Parts: sequence; structure tokens; C-alpha cells
Amino acid sequence: MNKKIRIDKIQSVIDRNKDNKDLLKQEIMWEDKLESMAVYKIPLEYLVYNKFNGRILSRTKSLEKQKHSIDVETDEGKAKIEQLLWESKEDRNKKTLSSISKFGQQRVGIITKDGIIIDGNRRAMLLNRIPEYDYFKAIILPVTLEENPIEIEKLETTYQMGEDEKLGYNPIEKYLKAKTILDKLKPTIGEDEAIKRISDWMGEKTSKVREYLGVIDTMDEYLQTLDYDGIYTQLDGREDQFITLTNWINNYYNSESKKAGWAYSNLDVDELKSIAFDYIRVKYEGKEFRLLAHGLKENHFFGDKNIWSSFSLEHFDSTNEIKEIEINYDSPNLKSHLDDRDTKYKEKVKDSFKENVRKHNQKLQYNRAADKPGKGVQNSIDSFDSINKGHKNFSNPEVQDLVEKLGNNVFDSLNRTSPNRVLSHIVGLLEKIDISKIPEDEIDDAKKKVKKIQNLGYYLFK
Amino acid sequence: MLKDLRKFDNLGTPNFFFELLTTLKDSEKQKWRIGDINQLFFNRVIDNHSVFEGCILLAFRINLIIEVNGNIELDQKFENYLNSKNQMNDKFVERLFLSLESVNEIYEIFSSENFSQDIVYQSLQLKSSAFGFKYSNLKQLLIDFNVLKVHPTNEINNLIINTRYKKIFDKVILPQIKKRKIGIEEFKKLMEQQQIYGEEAEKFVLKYEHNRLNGVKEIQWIAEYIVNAGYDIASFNTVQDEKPTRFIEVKSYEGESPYFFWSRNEMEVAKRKLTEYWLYLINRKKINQEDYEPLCIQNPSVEILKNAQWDKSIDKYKIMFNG
Repeated sequence: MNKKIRIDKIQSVIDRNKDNKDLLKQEIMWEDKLESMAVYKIPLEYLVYNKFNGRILSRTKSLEKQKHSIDVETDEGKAKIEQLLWESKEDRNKKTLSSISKFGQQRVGIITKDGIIIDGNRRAMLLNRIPEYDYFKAIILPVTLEENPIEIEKLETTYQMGEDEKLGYNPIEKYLKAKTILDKLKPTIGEDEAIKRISDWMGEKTSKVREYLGVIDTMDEYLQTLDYDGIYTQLDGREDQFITLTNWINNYYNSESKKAGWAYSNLDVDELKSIAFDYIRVKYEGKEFRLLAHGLKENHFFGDKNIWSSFSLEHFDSTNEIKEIEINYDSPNLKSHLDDRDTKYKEKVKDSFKENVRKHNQKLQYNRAADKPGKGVQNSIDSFDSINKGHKNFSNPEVQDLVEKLGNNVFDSLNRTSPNRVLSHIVGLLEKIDISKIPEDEIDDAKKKVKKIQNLGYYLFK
Repeated sequence: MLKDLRKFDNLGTPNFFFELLTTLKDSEKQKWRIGDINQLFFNRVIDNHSVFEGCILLAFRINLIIEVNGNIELDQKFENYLNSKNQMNDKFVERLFLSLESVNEIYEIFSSENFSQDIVYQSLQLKSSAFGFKYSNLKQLLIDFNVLKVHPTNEINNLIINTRYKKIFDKVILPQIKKRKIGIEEFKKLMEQQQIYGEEAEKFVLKYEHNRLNGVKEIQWIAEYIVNAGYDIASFNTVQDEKPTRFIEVKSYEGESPYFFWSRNEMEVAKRKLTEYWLYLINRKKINQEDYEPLCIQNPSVEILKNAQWDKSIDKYKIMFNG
């Protein structure tokens, strides 16, 4: 059914009911006035889904990026949108389906005069699944989508971003919605005014809207970096990390923030962003993700020049040579194909990422402990004591070399601060030697060493 | 150029550009500023789009519009092409391709590997995946301008090149593809197979087939865009045949005894197509003789491989370390 026929058919529904006094009326905000509008029963066949519906915007855009624009007026396009709407929140859809089956459509929808569903796409999709329902209860706006898209966008956003509805959405949708509206308004009314309007329509503070816009910029850049341009489905489950990363970018770009106590440049921030993208891709989250750059400078890698240089060097060393499987742009199930690609990437990098984080986190801890020497030294003693020295691996030459290195470090430190303590320590050590434990074949060598100690003692005494 | 357009979902449709350009033309006395153009398209939906920033940038990039002292002016040459939407469509496509000619990224998309030929419908096709996700806006633009058509079979992820615009491909894209073919791997392959004269021989065979079939059949030059089909030309055994029945691999040689190098792919296609597969062996020295008849061998996988009159030797082995 083409647009013109739809307009005629919907008009005929209005005309048929012009003397009907029993029509339910509902108030909606239209062109800044509270209007009371009649609710009509519109045959489902007159309706067209809105593919830019905020509930499925990320899915529609991803699909159009992979294929080509969806024509919702064809059977194929309609089926595609129905599938996306169904999959958008399957559990919730099942519940609503059962409720509609029992009680019918409870919430009235909104359509344009040419049958495009502005509010109620999900309900209409569910009604289409129930054979006994062949109509949709809706208010009919006095315009087509083309006649006043901004007003319709406003209406849709107010309805769909309302508190109750928000819960039913994929978290990505709100960011995308904010960007979509900004793109429409900005060229004419400027960014600040556009943000004010978005904040009005979404019922959020302007600062929140700015945050949404910053986050979607970071998300877009992430997708471009992976050549996943516009495939918003690949952001699922990563929202929190993007919020965190966007905060870092805002903090660090073009300023010597106190959160990183060194003279970094914007190139270093770019490097941080690039590494964070890799960690987001393999789904690092929470405390471990925040180790990259979050909070006070002593709590993250980016806060210390040496730690950051070493961390980033090792990161790029481990990722530079990774060979990835090619993207199958035609994959019939793109999301699972790209998820699988990300998982394979994770398999290749997870051990090196884990080790890199562990190692540099330890350096961070050492740095923190450096301010509190007693605690630091005690930690080292505890750490050494906790090693099972009876284990066969402990006598490995490599391990023993490390033990020797540890001993030398302790000695060097004592020597620098108090040579007298070194002497006391040596006396203590000499007193503890159990001569009876020296094997027969090492006695001559031991005697030579004792002689050398005598000589050294003589010279020191002089 | 493609890189800075990458972030936009919408690069425009014929309706958008026709309105933009005719508005500028019809109101030439009025000074148009960028803000006026934004205002013109504010609160509008054109072909399902309501964000036009990318389209306006594209119009600048391909010099449909230019900025002079802050005023937006229509390219003077283009004024003559706005008599109808169809005329504008054709000229827009031409301008677009001429502007893209020197853009390297375009040959990642329009590379020989991404083309194929549907011999039944005689159409040159391009893999939809050639655009990846990053240039999907260009793909949509070309679909909207009817340069590419979505394949009617859902499972086939190819785009059909509209024959109306094939000439633009031949003129702008094809020479670059050839240059690149000879620039990189293909050059080595061609040299190894001593087919550097292949194109000349293929043109000879196209003419030869045209004459053999009395000039009434549409013979398809497959190798023009595609390197890995396994044959160069799709022709017909007789004028009565409705679809191609003769798939010709053209080989050229010099000297008295014909010889040729056969790739694994060509051999496999020959084995599959059997009697429909032909080898045409062309003596380069005789190609200009008026009555020259090439040596045409039908079903070479049987007639040559199993025929002792032809000496066969392996020119090289593929040796791979499997440790």
C-alpha cells in the first residue's frame, strides 16, 4: 500500500467516525500545546513501522551499514523491522504479547496521517503476531513525517525517553538518539541551543546530554578504529567503559591534569585511548579497566611517566603482530560473527594483557609503598617469607640468581645508608655459619674465603 | 576525499541534489550562504533522510558548488545539466567518478578481485562487501543514483553495475584497475605466464568471435575487469544459442609451435566446463594477417592433457614448509 492510499484509507477511518461521540480522547503535547486527540482503531495493514524508532535505532543503523537502506514499505523491510523489534527485548516482548493476548492493546499509540507509527512500534509488531487482532488503537497526528519531522522527533523522544520506557531500551540507544537529534538541529540552531532542546525532550540535564554526546563520539571512534563503522551492535555490554574512557579523554586532552603528574602530550592521550579501545574490546571492566587512567595519579598507570611508558611499550609489542581473521562483511549473522572475531582476538591477547596489568599494577603498588618505607620493606619480607623454599623449583639456578640479587639489593641499600650496619650484619652472618655443615670437598675453598675475610677486615681496621 | 566523508551516514540522493542545485540556479541573483542552505533543508525529510551535512560536503568535494567570499555558488558548467533529474543524475555520476579517479581508496573498492560477471544476464557485478562498513555511505549513494542495483536474489551479496554507467567505469575506473593489476601481484603473474600481450590477443578473439557469429551476438569480455574467472571471453557456439556456451581462454605465443602456460584455476574451470571450454591459441606474429585463423581447441582438459601430441612439463612447484 503506497503512501497516498494509506493517507486516503486513514482519512476514511477519521471520516467514518466524525459523528462518533463515544471515541476515547487522549491528551498529548503537540506543537507546545496540550491537545486532546481522538483515538481511532486503525487496521494494521494501513500502518508502516518507523525504522528510525529509538528502540531499535542502533540495530537498524547497523543493518543498513552492512546491507543498504531498508525500505519499510516492502514485505522484506517490514519483516526485518519486526524481527529487530522482537529481538530488541525478547523477554519483555513475550510478557507484553501474553498481556495483549489476554487483555488487548492497553496503551494507545501515535501515528502520522500517512500511517507511520511514531509511538507503539513494538505494540503494533506484537499485534501483528496475534491473529485475532487486526487493528491498532492510535492517535492520528495531523501531519506526515515529512511535513514536520522535528516536532515528531520531539514527540517520539519525549514518549520514548520517559522514565518508565527508558528501562526497556538497550543502553546504547540513548546515546545514538542524542547524536541523531544533534545532527538534525545543529547546522541551523547551533550546538548549544540544540543541546538545550535535546535536554528538554529527553528530560535530562544539559550536562548529561553533553556526556551522552561525548560518549557516542568515543564509541564512533572505537568502531572506526576496528573498521566496524556504524555497527553499533558491537557496543553491547561495553557502555560503562566508554563512559569512563570519555571522562579520561575530557580530563587529559589539552591540559596537564593533576591526575597525571607528568608532562604528557595529546599524543600520549591518543595512545591511552588506543590502548583503552583494546581493553574495551576484550571486555576488561571495573577495577582492572580503571587501572589504566582512573582517579588519583598514584592509582593508575597513566599517572606515572615510567610506568606508562613501560606499560604502553609492552602493550603495543604484544598487539602489533596479531593476525586477525578477515571481517566477513556479508555474514548473515553479523553480530555473532564480529563477537566471535573479538573473542578470537581476546584469546590471542588475554595472557599478555593480564601479565602487563599485573606487572605494572605491582609497580604502582611499589611506588605507593615508596612513600611509606617501613610498610614497603615489611611487604617485601612478608612476600619473601611466603615463598615455599622447600619446593624443588626454589633451587633452580634462575631462582637462586634472583635470591642473590635480592640479597645484593638489601646489602647495597644498607651500605648506602649505614656501612656500620653492614658490618654488624656480616658479624651476625659469620656467627650463624655452622662449620660442621661444610662438605669435605669445599673445606679448602671455605678456608680461602675466610682468609680473604681476614684480609678485608685487616684493611678496614687500618 | 573518502576519508573525511566516512563519518556521514547520508551522502545524498538525486532528489536532494536536484533540489539543492536547481534552487541555486533559479535564484542566482540571491546570495546563498551556508546557513541559508542549512535553513533550506532544516526540518525536512528527503528520501528518508533528515541530516544533510555529508551531502553538502560531498557537493563541495566534487565541485558542484563552490564558495566565493562566503557565498555558495553553483558550478557554472553544471547549470546546463539541470534540465531534468535524469540529466542531472547522469552528469552527477560522471562528475563523481572523475573526482574519485585520483582517490586511492576507491581502488580498494573497485579492484579486480571484487568484480564478477553474470554471464547469463550479461552484467558486471561488484561484491557488496567491497565497500566494507567504512564506505557503505558511498555504496548507498551509488545505489540511490542507480549506478548500482541490489541483486534481486537475497542470498547473492552482489551489486549489479547499471549498463547505463558501464562506460564511465570503462573510462575512469578500468584504466586504473589495469595499471594496478600491472603494478602489483598480477604483473608477476602475467610475466610468468608470458601473457603480457594477452589484451591484444583477447581483442583479436573478440573480433574473431564477432565475425564468426555474424555480428549478431553480444560477446562478453570477462577478463576486462576480472582476473580469476578461469576464462577470458564468454561467447556462443552458434547464433541460436541463447546463453553463452563457449568459454574461451585466450593464450598468445610466438614461434612455429603453439605453447602456453596453464594456471591451476584455468585448468580446474576447463575440467568443470568440459566441452563448453575452449582454448584459443593466438600467434602474435600473425595476428595482423587478414585471414589468420587461430588454433581453437575445445575441451582442452581432455584434448590436450590426454593427448600425447602435446608435451607437458611442470614449470614450477609450489613448495611449502609443513614443519
